[in-house]
Amino acid sequence: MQWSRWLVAICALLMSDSCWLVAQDAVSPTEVRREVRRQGGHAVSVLLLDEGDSQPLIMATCQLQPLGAYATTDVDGHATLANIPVGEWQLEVSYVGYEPLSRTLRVKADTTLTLTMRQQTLALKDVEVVARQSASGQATASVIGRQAIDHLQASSLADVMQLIPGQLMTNSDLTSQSNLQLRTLVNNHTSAFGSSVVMDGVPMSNNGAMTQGSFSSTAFVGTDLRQISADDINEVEVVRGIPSAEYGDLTSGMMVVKTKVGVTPWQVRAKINPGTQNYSVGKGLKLHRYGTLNFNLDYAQAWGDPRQKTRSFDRYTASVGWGLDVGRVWDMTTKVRFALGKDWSGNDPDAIDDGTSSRCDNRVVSLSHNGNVHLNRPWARTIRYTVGLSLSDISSRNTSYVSNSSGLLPILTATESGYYSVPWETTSYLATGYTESRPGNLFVKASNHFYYKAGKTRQNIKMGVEYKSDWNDGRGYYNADDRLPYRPNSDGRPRPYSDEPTLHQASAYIEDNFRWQIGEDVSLKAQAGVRGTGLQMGRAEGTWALSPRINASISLTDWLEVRGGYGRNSKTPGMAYLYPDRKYADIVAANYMPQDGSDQILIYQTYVYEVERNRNLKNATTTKYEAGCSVKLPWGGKLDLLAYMDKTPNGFGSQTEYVTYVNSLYDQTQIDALIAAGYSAATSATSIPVSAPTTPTATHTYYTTTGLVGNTSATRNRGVEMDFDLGEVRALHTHFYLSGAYSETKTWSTDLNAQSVRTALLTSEYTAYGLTPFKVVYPSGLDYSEYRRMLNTLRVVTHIPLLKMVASFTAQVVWHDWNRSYTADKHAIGWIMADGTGTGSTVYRAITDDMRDGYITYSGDYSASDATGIRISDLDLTYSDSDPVDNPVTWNVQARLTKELGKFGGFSCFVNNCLYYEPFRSSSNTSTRTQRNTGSFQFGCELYIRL
Amino acid sequence: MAAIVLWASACVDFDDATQATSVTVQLQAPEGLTLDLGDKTVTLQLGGQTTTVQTDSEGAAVFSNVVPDVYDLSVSWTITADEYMAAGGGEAVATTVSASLNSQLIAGAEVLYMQLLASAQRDIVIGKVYYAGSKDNNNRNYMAGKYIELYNQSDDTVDVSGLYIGLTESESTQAWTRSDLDQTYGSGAAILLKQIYRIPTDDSYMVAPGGTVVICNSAIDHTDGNDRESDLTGADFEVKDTQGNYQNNPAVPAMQMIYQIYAGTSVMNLVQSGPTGVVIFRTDQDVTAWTKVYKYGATSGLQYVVCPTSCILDGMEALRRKTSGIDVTTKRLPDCIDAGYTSINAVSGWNAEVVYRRTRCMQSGHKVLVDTNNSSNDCQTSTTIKPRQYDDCQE
Repeated sequence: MQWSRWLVAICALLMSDSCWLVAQDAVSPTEVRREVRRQGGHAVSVLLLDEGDSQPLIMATCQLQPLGAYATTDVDGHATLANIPVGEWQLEVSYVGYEPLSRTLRVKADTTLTLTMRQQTLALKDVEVVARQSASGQATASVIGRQAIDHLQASSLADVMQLIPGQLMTNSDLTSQSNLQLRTLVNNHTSAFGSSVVMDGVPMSNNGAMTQGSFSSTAFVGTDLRQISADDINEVEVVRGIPSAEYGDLTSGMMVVKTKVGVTPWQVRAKINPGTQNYSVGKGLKLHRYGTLNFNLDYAQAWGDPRQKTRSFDRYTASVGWGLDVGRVWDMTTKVRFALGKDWSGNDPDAIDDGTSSRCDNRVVSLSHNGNVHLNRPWARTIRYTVGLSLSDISSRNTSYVSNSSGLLPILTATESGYYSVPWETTSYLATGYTESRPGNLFVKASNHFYYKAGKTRQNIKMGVEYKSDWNDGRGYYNADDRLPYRPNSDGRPRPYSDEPTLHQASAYIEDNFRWQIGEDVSLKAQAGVRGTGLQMGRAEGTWALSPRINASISLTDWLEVRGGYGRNSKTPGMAYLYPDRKYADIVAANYMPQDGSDQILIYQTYVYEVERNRNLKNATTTKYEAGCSVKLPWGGKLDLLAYMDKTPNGFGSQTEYVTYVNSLYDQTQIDALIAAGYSAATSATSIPVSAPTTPTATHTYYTTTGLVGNTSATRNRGVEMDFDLGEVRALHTHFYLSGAYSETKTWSTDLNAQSVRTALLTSEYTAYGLTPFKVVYPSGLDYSEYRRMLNTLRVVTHIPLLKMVASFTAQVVWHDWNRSYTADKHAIGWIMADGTGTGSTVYRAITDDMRDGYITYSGDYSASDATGIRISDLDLTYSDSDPVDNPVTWNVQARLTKELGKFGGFSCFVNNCLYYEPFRSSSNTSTRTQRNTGSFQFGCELYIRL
Repeated sequence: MAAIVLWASACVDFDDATQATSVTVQLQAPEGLTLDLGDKTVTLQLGGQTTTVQTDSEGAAVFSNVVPDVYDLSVSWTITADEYMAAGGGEAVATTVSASLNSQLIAGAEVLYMQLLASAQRDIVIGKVYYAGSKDNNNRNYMAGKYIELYNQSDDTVDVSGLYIGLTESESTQAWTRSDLDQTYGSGAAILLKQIYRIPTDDSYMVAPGGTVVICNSAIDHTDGNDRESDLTGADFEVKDTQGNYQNNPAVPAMQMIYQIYAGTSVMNLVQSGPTGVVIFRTDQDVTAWTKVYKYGATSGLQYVVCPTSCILDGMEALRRKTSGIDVTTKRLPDCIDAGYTSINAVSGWNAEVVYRRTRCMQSGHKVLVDTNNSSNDCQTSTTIKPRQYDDCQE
């Protein structure tokens, strides 16, 4: 197959890349191999026990950094890290519900260690209720651990986002879909589509999501974070910087979610606030030689507004995880997960029930299986593999009254071009529409991890291949009754999703985590890799991308580190973009409605254009640049500053491309001719093709877009992020954290900027029928929207181990909140008109400077003097400057408390906007005062029991 | 505590509170006319509350116990053709004498002067404007039944062919304020129109005394599925829809479209929430060649036709009722066309209210509608009034 050959070529290229990296240390490949063989074999054996009852801990992960050597404890708590080179390494042990362990290990010979771990409790000195920054030399990320999730009282993955620098503090709201938007100040379609959520090693794919009708930049395309219950999560890593080359098919950023694996006590949780209830029960069982078994059941129920019960969300999730170690050579975890989310909106029970309601049930069954095979060969220390399968069923049912305010609603059902006698409605009616989407995704990944030490360098290399397949066998959009359609317009035609081809995506990557200890306090750390991805290879609509990425940091002294990064992320187009819906244009041809009982005639022309495959679509690519520094402060604090710029010049958006078609119009003088041509009253539920007579009253040429999707949406995000750990005032048991960000987002469109001729320049005939003699083309990309925000968040965390209590106050100030929409003055640079062949094709004519004083005739020709045409200078567009909107400074304070009650459990409570600050303030360009911070007040509590 | 309260209340200066005042309104005769200004009814209006006072022989009316606020004041009466001639008018024509002060701040005792205007009574007036739309039997918006009705006040049959109907600009932020127009084109000299239609000139369309002309967007029976609407199958003219959204009744003659600001629509854009301003005019000029302007200060966007008020026969202005009340400063029509304003009693429309003229008297066997050149006086609203129907004579 062509794509597999391509993949091999990429792998070869990647291998050569890795050799180049090795060569940087001036060591030849032969020497490296010899060194690795010589390093051959010291074994580090670990026995891991619970500090309390000295019971072995099973399925705990042990890693030696920066080598990346990896092992899992078996049923007896033993793990062996084999073939460890001589040197000093950092042993990191983690286990669900236990405080992570980190220990420096000098390996000279085979080593045996017995380690004990302590269960996480507020009685310990260290607690972590804020996000932890990622290690240097790696992707810029925030790691949110279990204690932080507990303290937040998060109901879903969406709630943890507020711990990320630059994010606004928000209330928990399960009733509206929520996606991952990083470093952007405006809800961005491509950014939402291109944010990746990797759950237990498997990316939650949204490539198979389909839409009906034309491209919508506001349709929800991201992964719905509400689907993921927070209580089953052990740790979340939010990567907002340049991710590892291991991860792909994304633009803006990603979340890596790790769920619980290992032995845990029974845990029952109940969270209640005025809008939400969330209950869960979970347990991790020890099956001895059969490993561990985890399960978690979760139910959440939410009302949008407890006073008005018009919107609700119910979520049922269940997961079962099985962890198994086979002879210390092969460990694996398998998770099966089921989630059912039910969105509902309708009439308040106290209101008149007129039958309108919307319901959407989202069922997901997913399987993830991760395995590690410890070969411990120099070039293949650990082989990792992941298999993921996800099957979803998203069924929505919408019932509402279709308005008919103008008294004539044609029922348009034709799916082929032609003239149709159509049925019609004269009053509003109750209609039901269904959408059934059944996306499926198969994910297979295999990777090889090995490491070696050469001189003062440490190399930890991973290379892998991935295959992803997405399909959708849903019935798509359809009406309960085609005679009474739910969306009776051009965008309301049924569309079976199962008609579209399956997506095949193949990727390969290689990455080196490199460390060079240059001096005692001077070191270089880098994560450099490249990833190649191909989609639908061998087909005309196929795309490919090569994404190099590097994160590097240099420690100049023991207190100063400078870092930078560059990377490209590519998101392949989803099924909805590659295979857009057909474009329907419907124009009335005869409207003859006598009221005396004689035959009424309503004829519509339907014009259908099908973009079967979007051949020119490219991946959306975000290029990220980062530069920053970390300063360790003498009293134990740390300041991180990071400047970033993310550019996405080719995000997905509708692409304007015109075709023309001619409509024949018949007035009442032609009615007899129509009847003679075979017209009969439309009594059928669907449109009946009619042959229109050849002599219409008038013919009009209409322009319509083709429904193409292109890379027309451009975005640039830039800013500075700060994370300042101010340290602890021991006397107060209080830790201070200050974070902040200055962010800018600029969006613009690179789509063809074409408009109809202004109505004031046309006769009323053109205006009344919505016609234009030609489309005027203006320069693209001059108009933009820009947003700026600067905020600071101060977190004051008081932790008193004696009381097993932690309280936190979070104050956030938005210093600057600014936006502007700029529209540039423009000269017309050309025009588009029918090419005269009668095929519907169009032709572009450029306007040169010497033509500016001339005219374009109604037939689309240029004339220097024909004043009956449209004067080219009249086509210029000028705009008055729109003033930027500068919003006033606002602030918000949250208070949270978590208290453990012995070993039995504990409780947490929170109040958002605890000072109830909702002031009336005016912005810079209006004197009207509007209330700020509205809807930010919320309170709730959580009780948890451990058995 | 009680002592503190008593002490605090003793410190309050109750004389400092707002006091009712009295206002004297002095009428001033139109230039060149000698009129009896005594015993005329002056109306003081605040929201839905009105107070009336008769003038003394000198034309002064004294309103006492007026709470300081922003009021609308108006006065109008009609004089016969003979009385007009006797007063010094040049032509024997029945005339309306009127004056108004809109948004007048009354803060204390003062004298307000009202300059009277004399305007000839018209034969064809705008009798009804149904712009509110309604909710259909499924409680969904319905706007196909909107219409404009003209009324022949005179004792003669009138040919309405060639009569223009203009709809005033209705942007939520006024395209040009009244003062922008006055400064650019002269005081009260021009208004902006967004749509212009004309009664066809292919035939004579005679309207008998007391007769009406119903012009609608869809001449069908709108009561089918909507109990609050009317049967318009007998309408005189229909604006033919070009988009297949309204039923076109071939039995009803089409209005001619002269100017249309919106692309892709042909029907009359009678904004259901208001503002809706309708004028009728006649002119021999080429209306399509009239000046068109962008929004004030803008150089692109929609373009409105500048209509000289000199050719306008009648106008009726319905303003938007916001939750905070009616903002009189958004009036589009100058005092010489409509010195007041009317409005439906709903913020967003859809309440099926028809704005129509009150009936003044019976004359020569037909009703004569109130036409004081001031919609505040002339118009009222009803949800039950039907096309071609007017109230019985009040006298």
